[in-house]
Amino acid sequence: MILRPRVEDARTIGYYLGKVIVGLGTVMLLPMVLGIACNEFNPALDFCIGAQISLIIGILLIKLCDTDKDLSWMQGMIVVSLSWLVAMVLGAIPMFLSGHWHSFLDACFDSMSGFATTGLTLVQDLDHLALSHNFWRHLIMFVGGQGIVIVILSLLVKGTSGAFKMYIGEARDEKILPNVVNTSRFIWLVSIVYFILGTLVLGVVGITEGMSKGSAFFHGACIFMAAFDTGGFTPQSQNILYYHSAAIEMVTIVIMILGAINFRLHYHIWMGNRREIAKNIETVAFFFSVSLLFVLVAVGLNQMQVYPYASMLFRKGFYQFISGHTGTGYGTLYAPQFISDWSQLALVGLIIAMALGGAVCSTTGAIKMLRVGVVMKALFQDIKRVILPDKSIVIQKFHHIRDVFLEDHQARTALIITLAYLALYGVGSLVGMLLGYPFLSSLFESTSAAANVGLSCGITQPAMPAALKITYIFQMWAGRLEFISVFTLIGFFVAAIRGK
Amino acid sequence: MKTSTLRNIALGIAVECAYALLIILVGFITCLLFSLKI
Repeated sequence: MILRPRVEDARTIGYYLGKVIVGLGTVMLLPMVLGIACNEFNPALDFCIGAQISLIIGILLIKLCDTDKDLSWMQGMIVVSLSWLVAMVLGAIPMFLSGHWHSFLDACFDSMSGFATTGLTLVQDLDHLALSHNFWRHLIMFVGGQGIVIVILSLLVKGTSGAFKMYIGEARDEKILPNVVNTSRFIWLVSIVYFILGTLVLGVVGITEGMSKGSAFFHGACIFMAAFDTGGFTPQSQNILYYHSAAIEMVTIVIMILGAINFRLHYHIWMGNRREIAKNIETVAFFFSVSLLFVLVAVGLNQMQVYPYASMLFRKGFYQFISGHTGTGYGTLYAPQFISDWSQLALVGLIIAMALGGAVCSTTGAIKMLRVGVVMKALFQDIKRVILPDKSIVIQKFHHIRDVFLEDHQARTALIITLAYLALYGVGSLVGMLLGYPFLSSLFESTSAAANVGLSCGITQPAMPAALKITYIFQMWAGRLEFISVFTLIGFFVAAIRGK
Repeated sequence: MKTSTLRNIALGIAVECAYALLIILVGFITCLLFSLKI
C-alpha cells in the first residue's frame, strides 16, 4: 500500500526549499553589484527583479512552513530535486529579461545547463551580452558545480542531520569530514584556492596574449569557474577557439583535469597523503581510460587525415577529447566540424569518453571512474572464479583512500547507476531520432546533455524543437543528481495521487 | 593556518598538477606517434 504524503511532509519540504531559494536570491545580488559597478544599469535591474522574486518566494515559504523538524530521507531527497528545478526557473528570470534568449524555455535551458555544469547553450548574440549577465552564466556553474544545496548548507544550515540527507541527495555519496557542514566548507576551500590560482594564471596568460588587464582577468575568472566546475560556458560565442592560444588551451586542460578529481582525494592529498594519487582506483582508471580511448579517437582522426601534424592533433583532437572525458565541454572546433571533420570511429571514442566522465564527488557528471573501476574489478573477480579451482576463495580488492574488499552490493550499486545512465543516454538519442536527427548526432548530443558535458555537434540551437529542449533539460537534471532524488520526487507525486 | 598545513596544501597542489601534466604528456606522445605514422 502506498501512503499519501502528510501535510507535515510538505511543510518541512517547503521550509528547507525556502532556505535554498533565499540563498539563491542572495547569490543574485553579486551580478547586480557588478552591473552597477560597470554602469550596466538595465542588466543590474534584471538581477534586482530576479533577486526580489526569489527572496519574496523564499521568505514566504520559510514563514508559511516554519518548522523545527529535521528532514527525513524522503524529504531531503525531494528538497534537493525540487531545489534544482526551482533554481533553474528563478535563475532564468534575469537571463530572459536580458533579451538574449528567444523564449523563457531557452533561458530555462541555459539556466539548467549552467547549474548542472553542462555547457550547452541557446543564447543569442553572446558576444554582446552584458558583463554582469556573462558573470551570472559562469557563477551559476560555480554554484552548481559545488552543489546548490552545498552552498546553502555552508551558509545557512548549522549542522543538522537533514543537511547530510540533502548532501547525499545531491549526488555526493562520499563524506570528506565527519561533519557534513565542514565537508561542504572544505569543498569551498579547494574551489576558492584553485579559483585564485587559476584566475591569476589565466589572467597573466591573457595579458601575454595581448588582452587588456581588466579583460584578461575577467575572462580568466569566467573560464576558470566553468573549467574547474567542468561546465563549459565561455564569455565568447566561439568558446576557447576565440583565444587562438595554445597556452590558454594548456592551462584549461590542467584545470579541467583538476576539476575531475574527487574532493575526498583532494582532501587526502592536501593533508599530506600524496601517494594516494598514484594508487587510487579513480585516478588510475582515469589515466588508463584517457590513454586507451584517445588511441581510438586518434585512429579515427587519422582515417580522415584532417589533422596531419602532432600539434594540430593535440589542439583539435586531444583537447575536445579531454574536455569530453572530464565533462567540461570546452571546444576549439565549431560544432558542425564534429560531423564534417571527424570519422565515426573518432566520434564513438569521444562519446564513450563523455559517457564515462571523471571521479565521483567531483564536479563532473556521467557514470564516473569509481563505478567503472568497481565494475571492472567485479568482472575480473568473476573471471577468476571461473578459471580457478572450485574450492578456491576469490577475493578482489581495490584502493580508494584505503584498501576496500569488493563486495557484491558495491558491484550491484555501481551496475544499477551505470545502467540508469545508459538508459538516459538512450532515451535522449531516441527522442532526437524521432524528431528526425541522424543516429550518431542524436547519441552524441544526448550523451553530452545527460553526462553534463556540453560539447555539441550542432543539434543544440534555438531553432531545435521544444520537445528536444525539454528532453535535454530533464537529462541534465537527472544526470547531475544521479537519479535517486529524481526517482524519489516521482515516487512522491505518485504517492500524492494514488496513496491512501 | 599552520606552516606545515600550508606546505602540505602547496605540495598537494603540485602533485595534482603533475598528474594533470602526465595525462597531457601521454596525450601529446600519442599525437606525436600518430603524426609520425608509427
